[in-house]
Amino acid sequence: MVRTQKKKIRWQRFLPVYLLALPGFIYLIINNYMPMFGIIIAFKDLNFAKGMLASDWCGFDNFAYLFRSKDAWVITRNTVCYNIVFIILGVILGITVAIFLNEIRNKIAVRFYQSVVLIPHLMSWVVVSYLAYALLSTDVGFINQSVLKPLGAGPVSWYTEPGYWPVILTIVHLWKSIGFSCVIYYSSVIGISTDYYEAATIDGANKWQQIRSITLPLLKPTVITLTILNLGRIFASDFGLFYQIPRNSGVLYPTTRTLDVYVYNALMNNNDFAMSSAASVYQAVVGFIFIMIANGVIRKLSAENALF
Amino acid sequence: MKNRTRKLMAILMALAASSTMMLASCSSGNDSSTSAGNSTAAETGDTSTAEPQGDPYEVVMTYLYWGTLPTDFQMVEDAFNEKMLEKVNAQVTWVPLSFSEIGTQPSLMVSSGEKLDLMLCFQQTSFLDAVNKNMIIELDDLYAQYGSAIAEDMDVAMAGGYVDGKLYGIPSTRCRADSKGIIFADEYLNKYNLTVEDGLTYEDLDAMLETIKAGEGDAFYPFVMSGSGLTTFEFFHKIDFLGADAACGGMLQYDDSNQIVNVFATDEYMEHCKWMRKWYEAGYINGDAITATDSAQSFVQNGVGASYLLQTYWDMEANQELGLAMDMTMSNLTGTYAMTGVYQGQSWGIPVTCENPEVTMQFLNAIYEDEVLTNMFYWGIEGVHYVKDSENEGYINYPEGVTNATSTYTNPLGLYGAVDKMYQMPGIEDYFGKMQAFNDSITDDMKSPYLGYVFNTKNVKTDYAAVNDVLTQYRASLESGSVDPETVIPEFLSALEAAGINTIIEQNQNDLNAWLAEQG
Repeated sequence: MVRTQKKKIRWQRFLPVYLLALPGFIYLIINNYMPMFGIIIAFKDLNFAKGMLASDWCGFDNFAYLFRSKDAWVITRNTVCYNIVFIILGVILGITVAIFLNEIRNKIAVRFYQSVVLIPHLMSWVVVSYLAYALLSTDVGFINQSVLKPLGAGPVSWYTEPGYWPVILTIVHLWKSIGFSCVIYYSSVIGISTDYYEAATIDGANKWQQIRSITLPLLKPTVITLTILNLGRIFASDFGLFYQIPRNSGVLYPTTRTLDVYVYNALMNNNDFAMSSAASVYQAVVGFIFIMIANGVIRKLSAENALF
Repeated sequence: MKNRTRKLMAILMALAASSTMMLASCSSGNDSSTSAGNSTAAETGDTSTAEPQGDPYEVVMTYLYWGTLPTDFQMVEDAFNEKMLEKVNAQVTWVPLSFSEIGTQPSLMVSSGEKLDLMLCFQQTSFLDAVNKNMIIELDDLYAQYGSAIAEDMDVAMAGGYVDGKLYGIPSTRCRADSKGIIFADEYLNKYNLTVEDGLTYEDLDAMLETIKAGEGDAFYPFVMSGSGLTTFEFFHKIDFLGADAACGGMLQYDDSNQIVNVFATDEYMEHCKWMRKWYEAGYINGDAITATDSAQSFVQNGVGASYLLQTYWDMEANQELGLAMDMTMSNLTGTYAMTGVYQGQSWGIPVTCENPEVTMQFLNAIYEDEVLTNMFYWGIEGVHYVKDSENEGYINYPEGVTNATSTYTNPLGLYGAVDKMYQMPGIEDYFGKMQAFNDSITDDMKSPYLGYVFNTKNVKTDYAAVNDVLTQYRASLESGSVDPETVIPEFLSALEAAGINTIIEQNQNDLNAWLAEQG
């Protein structure tokens, strides 16, 4: 009896907050849920004379081209593996940079370095693509002309060698994203009470011991939250990174093509709504499975941090 | 459980709150664009009802533009309507579409039931797609009844509008035959005493490129190309793709075997890629070919390139000279040919949603019939946007004080009506005479025996999509010499086979045999 009353009061107390969110909910439903109806196109033999709803069903025919070659496997592998590498390295580097920033005592210097690491995050992928091209271009690129040549090495045709690209893409991604993620970690790090560090210093702990025993454990909740948010997007790739940076070079597809790029190319080449939405449905379904698995694993490991 | 629900709620709330903010920041922009769209529609609606003459049918047609919409778009549309009413009881509403919209917007309009009477299919793939999805109607009867001016004007080019033996599209092209080849900047030809003639072989080109490279040095590329989708093979060989594309096989020669082959499995392809590889490794071809985004022309203009591939249609040399402000000489490498593919490209279709196809066809015919209407799309209104040259028939100029840069209306795409009646700016002397001479020079042996046959990819669309995907992965790098053909071509061929190219070719061959039997 007492409990239900309590619950009621709380519900009433939060009502204005729910009302505040109402336009957003409506927007979510209109923008994210209603278009899901379009999924049926993926299973239709589209015929404009009959209209979208009355077109004949064609089962999984539209999906067939995805699985005709090894493409489906390669793009799925690329999308997931890149994201896993990005998440792991992003956490490690983000925390490292945040701790470095925290150790700088000069206020002006901190502001300066913080801005410098954040600048890449503000650049458009097209601009970054040209920066990468300036470095990697075969004829006039900085690396071929000013690094390899003086060393006596022959020029490398970067855009036709798929082997280098997992490393290149990882570097470019980290370079661009680290500024933003380190800001989040940095705000957690400066939130840690200095009392802990003072006590540790009195006990004779050196810097490394302080970081290992104070900073890192206290950062754990932030790390878990950010990782879960990233895991939710594990099957979505950053289109700008994978399309603009390799400059859509066909030779590089085995190591650079992810699902978003594939869907984009398929739509541009084939102009076929049904096949493109088939690829999108595939992305959505596999993405959903991944989120369920990730959440299940987290729930096993630490139930309170699970998303649902 | 309760705990979890609360957390889920919190996440949803956060999402909702953030999307509200996005909505708020976007909404102002959206409002203005939609209201602008409505007002133009309302205005044009008014003009059509204000006409006293009966009830003119309103033809809604796509209007493709390049760059930004011309300032006097509305003014020209009104003038066009006035002129059109004299001929056909119809009024037009142009739906301006940019290049990025032309592929998808018309089909979205048709599927959502928005009024559209005349749509431009900008590429053969989107035309075929429109036909196969029943987006556009058959035109045979309408064409026979109302298409006299179109027939007279397009003539042999009508072959580009047929699918499965039925007419679906009205092509818009001035090409009656075509060829492909290479063009050199005269500067380097004169400097190294080289001559260019039609039909240069790989060996001829090899020697020329070597001379230029030796003279110009390291940072100069005698043969430039660019783009992640570049192809070079069909610039060296006359290939009949039978109204389809490389994914469906083709024929390298017009012979009597009627045998469709996988062009990538031919010896010619291997030989071609080896030459390209040689030129690439020797530094004749720019090393960044497949990643460069600057056009090949700009390399030549900037003085780091000497030659590039192009269609060698008769006025192309003069066109390139005007564009680059350099003297050029081109060589036709494939020989002139007339095959179905030449006439495909852009065509006008009537969507299934059109309420009055008869008037729409009359309307289209009127554009082909009347050179004033044709030229209105291109140059605007006489006396306002251009003046006729009193001495030279068919030549025009900008009015006093107006230049190319300050002109308020021009749409240089040339997709409308009788494009061979399009007025010319000074630049090419005796344009119309030369065009006539070229058209007269087309002989029967230039015509493909399969002219008129169009392969429909409908029944093999899964294979077709998969094969096209393999082509985007391999062609550019092989045909620019960026990779070694000896190792990559076998890999390419097995990928093509896995994707189903043989199924497509088999289907194509069956269809062709049936077509040949029908022709007798």
